[in-house]
Amino acid sequence: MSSPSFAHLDVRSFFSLKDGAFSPEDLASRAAHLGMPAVAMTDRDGLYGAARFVAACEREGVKPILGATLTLADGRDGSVAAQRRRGPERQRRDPSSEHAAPPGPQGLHVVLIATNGTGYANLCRLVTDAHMAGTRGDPSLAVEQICAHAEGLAVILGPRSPSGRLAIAGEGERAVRVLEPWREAFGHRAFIGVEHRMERDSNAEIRALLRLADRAGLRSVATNPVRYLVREDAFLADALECMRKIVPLAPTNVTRTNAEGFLKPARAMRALFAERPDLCDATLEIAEACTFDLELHRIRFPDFPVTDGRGAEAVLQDRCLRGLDDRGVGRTREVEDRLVHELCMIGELGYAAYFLTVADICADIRAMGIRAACRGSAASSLVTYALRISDVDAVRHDLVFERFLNPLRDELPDIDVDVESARREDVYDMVLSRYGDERAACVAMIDTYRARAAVREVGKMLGLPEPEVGVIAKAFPHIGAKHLRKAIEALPELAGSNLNAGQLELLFTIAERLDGFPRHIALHPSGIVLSNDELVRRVPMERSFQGYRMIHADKDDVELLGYLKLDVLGVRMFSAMRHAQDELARVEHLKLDLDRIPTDDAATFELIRASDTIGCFQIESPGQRELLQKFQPQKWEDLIIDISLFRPGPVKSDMVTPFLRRRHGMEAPEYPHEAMRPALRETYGVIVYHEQVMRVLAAIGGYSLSEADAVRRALGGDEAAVRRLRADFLGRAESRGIARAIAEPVWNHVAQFASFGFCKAHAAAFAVPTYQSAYLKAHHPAFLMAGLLTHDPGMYPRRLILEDAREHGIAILPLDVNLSEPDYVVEIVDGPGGREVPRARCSDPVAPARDLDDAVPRHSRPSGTEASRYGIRLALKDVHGISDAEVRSISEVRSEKPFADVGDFTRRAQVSRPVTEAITHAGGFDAIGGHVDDTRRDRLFTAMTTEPQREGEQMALAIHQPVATSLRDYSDAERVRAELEVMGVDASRHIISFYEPLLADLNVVRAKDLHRHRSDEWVMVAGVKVSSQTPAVRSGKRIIFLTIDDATNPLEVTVFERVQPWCARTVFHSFVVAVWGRLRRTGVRGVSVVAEDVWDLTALHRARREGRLREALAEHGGPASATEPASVPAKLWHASPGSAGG
Amino acid sequence: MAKRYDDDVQVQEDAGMPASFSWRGKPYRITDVIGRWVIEGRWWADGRDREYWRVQAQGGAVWDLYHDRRARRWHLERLWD
Repeated sequence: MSSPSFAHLDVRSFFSLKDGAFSPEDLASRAAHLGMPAVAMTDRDGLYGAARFVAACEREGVKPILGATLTLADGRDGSVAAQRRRGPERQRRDPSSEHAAPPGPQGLHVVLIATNGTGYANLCRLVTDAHMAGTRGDPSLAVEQICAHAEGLAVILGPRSPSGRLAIAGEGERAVRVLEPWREAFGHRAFIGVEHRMERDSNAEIRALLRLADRAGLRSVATNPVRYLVREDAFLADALECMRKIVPLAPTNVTRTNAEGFLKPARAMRALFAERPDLCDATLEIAEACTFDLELHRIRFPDFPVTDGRGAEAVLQDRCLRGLDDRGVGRTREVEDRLVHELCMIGELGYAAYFLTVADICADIRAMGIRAACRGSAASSLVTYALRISDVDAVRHDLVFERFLNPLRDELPDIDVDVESARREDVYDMVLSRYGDERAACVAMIDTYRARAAVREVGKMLGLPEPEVGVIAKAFPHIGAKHLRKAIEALPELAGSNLNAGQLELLFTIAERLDGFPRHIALHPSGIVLSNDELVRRVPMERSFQGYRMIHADKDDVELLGYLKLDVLGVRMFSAMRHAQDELARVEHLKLDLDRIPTDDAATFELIRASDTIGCFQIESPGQRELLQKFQPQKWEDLIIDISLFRPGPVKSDMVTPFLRRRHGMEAPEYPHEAMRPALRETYGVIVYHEQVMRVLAAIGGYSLSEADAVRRALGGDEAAVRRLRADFLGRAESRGIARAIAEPVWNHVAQFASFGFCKAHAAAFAVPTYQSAYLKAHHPAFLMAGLLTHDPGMYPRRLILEDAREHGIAILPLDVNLSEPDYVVEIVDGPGGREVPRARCSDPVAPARDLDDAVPRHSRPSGTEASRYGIRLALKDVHGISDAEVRSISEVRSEKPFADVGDFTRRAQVSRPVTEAITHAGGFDAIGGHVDDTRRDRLFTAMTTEPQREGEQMALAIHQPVATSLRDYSDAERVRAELEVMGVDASRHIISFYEPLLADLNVVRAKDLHRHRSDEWVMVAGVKVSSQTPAVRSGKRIIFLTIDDATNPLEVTVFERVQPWCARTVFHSFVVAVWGRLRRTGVRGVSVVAEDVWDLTALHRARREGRLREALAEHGGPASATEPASVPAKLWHASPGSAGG
Repeated sequence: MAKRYDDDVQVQEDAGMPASFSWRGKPYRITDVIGRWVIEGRWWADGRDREYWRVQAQGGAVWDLYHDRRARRWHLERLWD
């Protein structure tokens, strides 16, 4: 009697990219729901979903079977010879497939199932080999390769295998022949897979395959090629197939003919194979024989070679003691106790080798002359400080080690190392080669469908016109695909689209279902996994687009698999500061060691207090600069608080106001209980840090710091859990003699702020580059700015940094083919000052604001714009369209002899004509000798007409004397326009300066003067668009945050949804805008303008010249202006004297 | 030689399988079921969900009948006689 059970062994999830239509989790829960004892996941050429699948099966109580569907090299038998023949033959149809091509991707496939650890190691190896050979993204294997690693694997040779194809085509004898190597290698673990897909020719196909099994003496097993879990989802398989093949959805492009490829219940599978129950029994036998366990959650440490038989713990202790001495940390009682405490816990948890490994990597990075520092909670440790993984003294800053590491944490410690962004790849190469291919690899990142990409791809697949699909896709904010419908209601753009409701409905139905589906596998931006040599035996690898070895696991999988991950993050500010240091050494022979600058430098803090911090790490945003003005940081610790305070949580819950009031003595610090004072003293009783939450919980509830960390993290969880924690806390407090009347408010206080707090260690780690960048700006602004312009680290575009440089009296030197370097460099110019203007000379002490609501933001620029001794030369690399090779060519050629003129440049440098023209257009030849009377137009004419030197051609022929022309020279406006076109910056003048007369007519208030106006007052502002953001807002409404710059200050403009119907287009598509709106003063965000209407300034400029400015302003009113009492033009023109249009 | 039709037929079922049918007013008794398959798809256009039965009827002719599962109607598609 046959058992009523069945195990599916041919199942492709969404990790068979654009093939299967379900997640590993859904597979596990569906199999559990159907009462299946086991289920396999056999994705195409990958094990990307293995860890997730096993974890889900463990939750659901289903036995996971791991396998893969491997693609064989094309050809009728999948042999090596056939693989060599690939290429021209690839497009040719296999004659055997003319007969009823089975569904699914074309080509030959076999399913491999891992029965034990050796088998899984072989499977990983085979998948790796399939990816590493041949072209990327087109994995395949030859039969011989698979058969050479058959141990521990079972193979299912189904209708899409070489033998299956031949048998179905009626070539039984050849089919038996090609089976031979499989039978030899796999023995009784080779099975003929038989499918009953309920297609017209299914019966014939089944008979052919069964006959093949008989002739070859192999067993058969029943399978169903599962691509969706339930019949109703079959449509997704069609959609995915067409998206994969990039063809429109049409009967000819879809291989599926019915909806039978779902996870059929055992009864249905048994009914299909009623005549041969043994085929179904075989599935269970195979499942039974699989004994492999991926063993999730067991941590697999990297090997750390330890000499003379000592344990890693002993080595770690030695290194820490030596490291503290090197750092000059005195061996006080506090330090020693702390070290012992940390080392004990590290030893207990078995992490010693990991710390040593990371320390070695950091040392190697520094040995390459690259700056490295850890961020995050890892800075909470004295051990990481001693090992030079972190630059923050955890004892001095009173950081809590348990925030980083404790026995109650269920996650692995995470050490993120920041390095110079420009050198990140060098660091990658070093780490990967140091640990070797078998022990280290990059982590993958599963790029899943989000709303925009889903709409775009599905729309294309449905054959909708691409421009329209583009408009719809762009209308969505960056949200998950599953939130599509909610977002649609909030998008007025869609109302006007010409697509009919039916098409849109279909589009959204499919797009929504793609939420979470992998789109492609990319390289994780920072993760490297470190392990021992078993890594390659447990995770397959492939080559990323960039050429790195990358495992089939993302960061969550890495955690599940128990590997330690090192995150190497490229920080542009590090590169910017390095550039500044290099330039200081080159120009002034000054070797500045940023790790040894005084930490209490007066000029640096004056700069910070004056919020002259554009370009400084973490403290350059308008909101942060306003906070600095109110906060008036005096010392390093204040910077840590400042960085922590400027977070959405603290700002939203208004922790900032009480902090500032107490800080400036306007109210007294409050402590709900005396026991909280030590923890909260540094922030005047306001909870700012995670560490404070932990300490308060420990002080009142008597928790250990490890427990307190667990409670803190649980506070963000569900309400029931929080209620339980509360009861526990109050009970503990009571038993410690703390009255409920006191404990209760403490709990409420802590619970409320726990989620808003910030990790102090993280802020302390960030404060280092914050302070260093501020120090550089205070003492060597031109050098820092050259670095900022080269590496673009901050939130502001380069043109704003240039403006800041001009404000500091630093000359912006034009593009020059003989002087411009690949990067932005500092040059000494003949400034009258003779030296840079030190900050200390141009700022006054600033009194703290008396009343926060009326706090007037000080004009943050240095008061004088005395000329600096330095200038910054525009860089070659920012010439529009220039290639690295062209930059190199220019540098090389001119090192022999400087360019004499445009003609000389054209002949000698290997630079394309459009780039030469661009350089000329931007004035790159204006300053070099020869033809001094030529205008820029003359030079452009030469650039356009001179022939480059060709090999073997005689110089005499090549030299072409330009006709002596005298074309009109560029006007100032044309110069700036050319700079913007070519360099993307307005180097010679701020672009807004051209609109001065118009700004006067419009009665524009400059950003620096806005503080003189009352809250709620109507104002006209104008500027160059710096950035626009549309963050997802909880209400689901779309708000556009626009930053504009008018050469006096950056200014925030808020565009609410109400006005977007007539403003959105201008906001998104214009470069220079005028905004009419209400002034708003809000806590820490400072002054902003709430837009009522927005115009394109160039359009207004044109209208003004044509004498129809009034009309231009009026016609823009849009649909709502009729009902809007604050109708713009009337008010504006009433207030605006002497307008051109009036 | 197969002939194609798109005619309605009336089918009597027994135990989930067609047992007899009438076509153009004439009844036929099914003597054997030769094959069964399903065609489903084209959901983006006309959309179809058909269960096909290849049967032999009294007299020896082979018939392809399908059950349109959406419209709940039976059709004759092919006849070999």
